[in-house]
Amino acid sequence: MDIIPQLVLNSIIAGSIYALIALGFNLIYGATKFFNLSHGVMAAIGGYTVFYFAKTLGWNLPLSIVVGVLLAGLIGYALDKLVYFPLRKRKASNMVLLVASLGLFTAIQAIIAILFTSQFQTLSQNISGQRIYEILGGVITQTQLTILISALVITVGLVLLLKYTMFGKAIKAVSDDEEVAKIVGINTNKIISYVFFIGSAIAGLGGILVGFDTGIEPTMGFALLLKGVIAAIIGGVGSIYGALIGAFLLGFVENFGIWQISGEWKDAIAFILLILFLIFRPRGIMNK
Amino acid sequence: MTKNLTIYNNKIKYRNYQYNEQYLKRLNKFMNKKTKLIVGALIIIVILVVGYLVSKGQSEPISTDPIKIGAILPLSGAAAFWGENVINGMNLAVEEINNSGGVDGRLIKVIAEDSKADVKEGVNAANKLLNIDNVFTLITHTTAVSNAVVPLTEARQMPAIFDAADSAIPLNNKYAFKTFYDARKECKGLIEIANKRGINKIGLLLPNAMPYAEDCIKGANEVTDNIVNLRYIFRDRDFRTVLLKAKKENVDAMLWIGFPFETNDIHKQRTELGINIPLLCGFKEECISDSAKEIIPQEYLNGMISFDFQDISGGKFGKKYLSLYPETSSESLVGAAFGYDELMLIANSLKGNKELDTEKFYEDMMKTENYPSAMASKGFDENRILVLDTRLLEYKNGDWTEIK
Repeated sequence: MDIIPQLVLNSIIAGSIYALIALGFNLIYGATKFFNLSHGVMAAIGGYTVFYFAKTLGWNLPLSIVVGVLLAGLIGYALDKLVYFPLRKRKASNMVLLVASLGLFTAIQAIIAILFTSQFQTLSQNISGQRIYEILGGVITQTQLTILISALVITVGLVLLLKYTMFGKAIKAVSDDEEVAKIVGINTNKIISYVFFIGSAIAGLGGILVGFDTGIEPTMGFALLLKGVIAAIIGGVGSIYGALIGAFLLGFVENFGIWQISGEWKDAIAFILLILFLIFRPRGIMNK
Repeated sequence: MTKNLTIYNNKIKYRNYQYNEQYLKRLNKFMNKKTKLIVGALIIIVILVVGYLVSKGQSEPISTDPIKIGAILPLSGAAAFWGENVINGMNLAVEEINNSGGVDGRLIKVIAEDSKADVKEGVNAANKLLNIDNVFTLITHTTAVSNAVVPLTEARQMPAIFDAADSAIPLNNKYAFKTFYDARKECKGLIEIANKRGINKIGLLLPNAMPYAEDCIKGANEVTDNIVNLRYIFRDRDFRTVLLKAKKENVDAMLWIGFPFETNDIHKQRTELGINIPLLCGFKEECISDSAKEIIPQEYLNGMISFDFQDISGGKFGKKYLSLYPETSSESLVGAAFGYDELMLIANSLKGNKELDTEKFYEDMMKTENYPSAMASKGFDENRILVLDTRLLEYKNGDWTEIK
């Protein structure tokens, strides 16, 4: 293992994890224009669903992963129908929606802790059973490669969806101007609910893959959300490409930063990057 | 009075009773002689009896009123595994104390609050216990929360127990008593044994913002300056770049003290990266968790050195606790033992202190030696640090062996 290629791979792995959160976050923000903080807990829902079905009930692993992704999506969809939609209907401000999302985040996190205890759990099996690939002198595990490929595939998938399908064009129309979208006959509430489903399902997948890479805990969503939101802002809030580029930039700056200075500066480095963007390029890399 | 008392025709009419003047004169004469003496004597007796009863009530506590002890523990969150066992241990102690009649006839009651191992939550819990529940004393667990709570107990001159790895707590606070291991001393000991084995360049793999980590660094600096900074953010689960740094710096071993939830990530990532640098660490279960034994190849675990307490699983408390909670790990058993011992220390120090005098309690805490200790401790030293017997262990081929 060579040092610098490994450092690059470490940055890519971190960036891929951030991207899985930032992608769904940006998709939802694009359609709703509010910071959906409950997005972070969807990762925990995905991880714990797989833990419950695969490890506790002994279900087949791929089936458990599918159930985990779908359940995270469905819960995201339900939250929109039960909480955000009624608030939007009452013309609640974005601040009210943000506070509601924070409340949901906290409540769901507490429910997970009650159901599964606060103990750390691992989804992975014996490490020697996992394949390790060598790329240009650095090493990457099968799970980490899956995280990277998932982030790339989801980005491409979302871009294609938004560009080439009627549904995607409807999402873009809602993102551009919800009132005009309504006038031209788009059922905007339905579109937003579907966006919640897709965005939450992506976060659920992110949580499952992080669970395989490191492990799961009820509070895992907060750290993921924090870095995911930073990535989304520096890449460009609401932009799909922006989420990916922001996530990788954050991963590289963090890892090369702590390579030079102490590791305890990692969060400070991330927030300094965020502040620099907020001052000099507040709309992010992709938004003009 | 004017409404009920009227005088007419030399007769006094009081309500419906009529008396003539002669009768009243006789009555007054009689009162002046005998009755006044008797009434006076009766009044004196009543005053004496009431006074005695009041003074008796003030000097002796009501036997049914329990002595309240506050416990600030991580009952949820990442360190809940510890707090849950501590409270179980405390409950066992309370059961034993109260079943044997309590402390001088008064029962012990523990009021536990959840700190989530979070400083803010811990301070809120302490304020509640001190101001609303009016507890007699406090027991606080985890180093960071202890550091935050100790100013509150000091301000009240309240002797209190802090289960923390930071020896500065009792050294800087007159009324603080410390249980748990001493990070400074143990880190110093680990590096000394490492140096004797030719392990010279040590990477300090320690979290930020944790008082025990600062204390550990102080201990390390007392022994060597051949150290490399490998610090990370507490609760961060990505150790890859920090581990890579350890490899680049060619460290011989990494000194790490942390939580069991971190150990799996560290071992997993060093195995993935092929960085087989041994760890010098705290409890053996922090060093290598049961799940790490299952998922990490043997060669990546051999050579770990740990400091730990004496094995208490075979003792009276250990056997009883394990019969009630058979799934308990050895580290969790230590948590339960500390909870048990802390309650026993307090109960023992309160014997003969019916007035619950804090000065006397403080003095008795300092003197307490013989109490039913699960950890086989003999009480506090002159710095109010609990004297505990620790040992050094090395992991070889699937098992820990003691380093003599």
